[in-house]
Amino acid sequence: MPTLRFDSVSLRYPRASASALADVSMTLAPGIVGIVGANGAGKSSLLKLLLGSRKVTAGSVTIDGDEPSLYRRRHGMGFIPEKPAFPDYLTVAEFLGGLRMIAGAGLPTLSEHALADSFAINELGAARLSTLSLGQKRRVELAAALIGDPPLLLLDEPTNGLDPLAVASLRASILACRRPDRVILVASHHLDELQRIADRVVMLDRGHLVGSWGGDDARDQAGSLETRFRALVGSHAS
Amino acid sequence: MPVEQLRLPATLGLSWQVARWKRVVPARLGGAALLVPCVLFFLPLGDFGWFQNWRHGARVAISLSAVAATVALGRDSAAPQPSEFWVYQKGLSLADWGLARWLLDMALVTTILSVWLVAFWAASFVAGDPERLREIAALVAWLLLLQMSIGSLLFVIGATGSSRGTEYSVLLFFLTLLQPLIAHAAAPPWVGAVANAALPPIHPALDVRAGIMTGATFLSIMPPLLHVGAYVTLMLVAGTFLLARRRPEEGA
Repeated sequence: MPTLRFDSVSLRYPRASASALADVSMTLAPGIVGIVGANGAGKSSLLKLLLGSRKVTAGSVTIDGDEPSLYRRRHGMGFIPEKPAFPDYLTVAEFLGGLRMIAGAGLPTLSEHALADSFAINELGAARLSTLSLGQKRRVELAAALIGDPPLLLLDEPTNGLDPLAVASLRASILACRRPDRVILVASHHLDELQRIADRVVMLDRGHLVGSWGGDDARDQAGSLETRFRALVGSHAS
Repeated sequence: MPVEQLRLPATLGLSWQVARWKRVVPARLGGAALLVPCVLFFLPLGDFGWFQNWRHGARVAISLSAVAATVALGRDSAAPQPSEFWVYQKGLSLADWGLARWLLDMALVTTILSVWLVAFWAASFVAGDPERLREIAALVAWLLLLQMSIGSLLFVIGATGSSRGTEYSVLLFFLTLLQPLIAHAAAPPWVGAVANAALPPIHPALDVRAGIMTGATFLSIMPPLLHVGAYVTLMLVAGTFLLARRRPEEGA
């Protein structure tokens, strides 16, 4: 059961004038955690620190007490970036089969792939990844992220560019991934979407943690998330 | 690096690289282009005036083709890919992944070179000038050393994150051809020494070939052989070190 701990975390990219994250401290327990904030608030940076693809400038990030890179090597993770990126020359079946190989599950046919049923991608098995629609790519990404049954899922703007039906489908898929021993971090601009699915919402503003709500409070108490967002982030939110 | 550590990335790499070979590089068009040298060997190359005889022309053709095949297939082996965060997030080391892909690409180049050598050998009979075993052995050694020199250079260029492996390697290859001139013109001896150490060891590889051709003792071809071996090892170690420090660009 992973617990994510941020202790006075700061991150500044080389040649950047301001910190992407500044003195962020929080502890996140299993459940769906929504991360909201304006453009440049530090949402994606937070996910990159957890993936281990960026290192903190100050402070520390731990997952179950381990440094993120060590945790990733031991347990694997599920990460979906803001823009889909695949080895475009592969078919869906080749791609998912390869990732299953890393996760130690052997190389199954797509029909044996339980995840394929869950995300309605059986019919896409022979399709090249480059030919998929955005909605189909998002489904394949989620299936790929779940390979190896990782206890930590990091989703960066997963509903970007999707039509309402695809958003609803993805929402159902994310909810289906919820488990008592899994942390699912969803960074999103879609406040109403997060309000529907998140057990906890964390709000960032220009790298600073400005708010955090848990349980029902995140969903329906004291006004909508958008109202809080406007109140806390104010006029500089774009 | 333990062989066991490379087993998983190599198995995965084979599954994905075969798809890449079929659909991206060399794909169908490149595959057809790979047959061109086989046709060239059967032409009367000695009659063109550019070469001393058929044998000279065929050797130049197979050497240039080896460079072209190594560059075409090895330029992206260790270069960053926007999708490498997928293997990274599942716990695979990018150094193991890059090295496995490079080894597979080099294995394909070696396979292609083997086919060309068989065609070359067959063509030597058709040309009425059959190659002797020692000449074939010298050519095999030369082509392998040439491939590894260029391939290891491409590996380290790719590992730096550069996508201009083709340009840099072709530039360095031609600088290497000019190396004797550089060494001759350079007043301070250290310039020649630096050029000798930094540039791909094409001339030492040629020395190995000449040594085998003339039946020189193994001890006498050891120095150039060690030079090539040291260069390739250094490039692979440097490339692996750089790959180990690389972080994936998520969805870039």
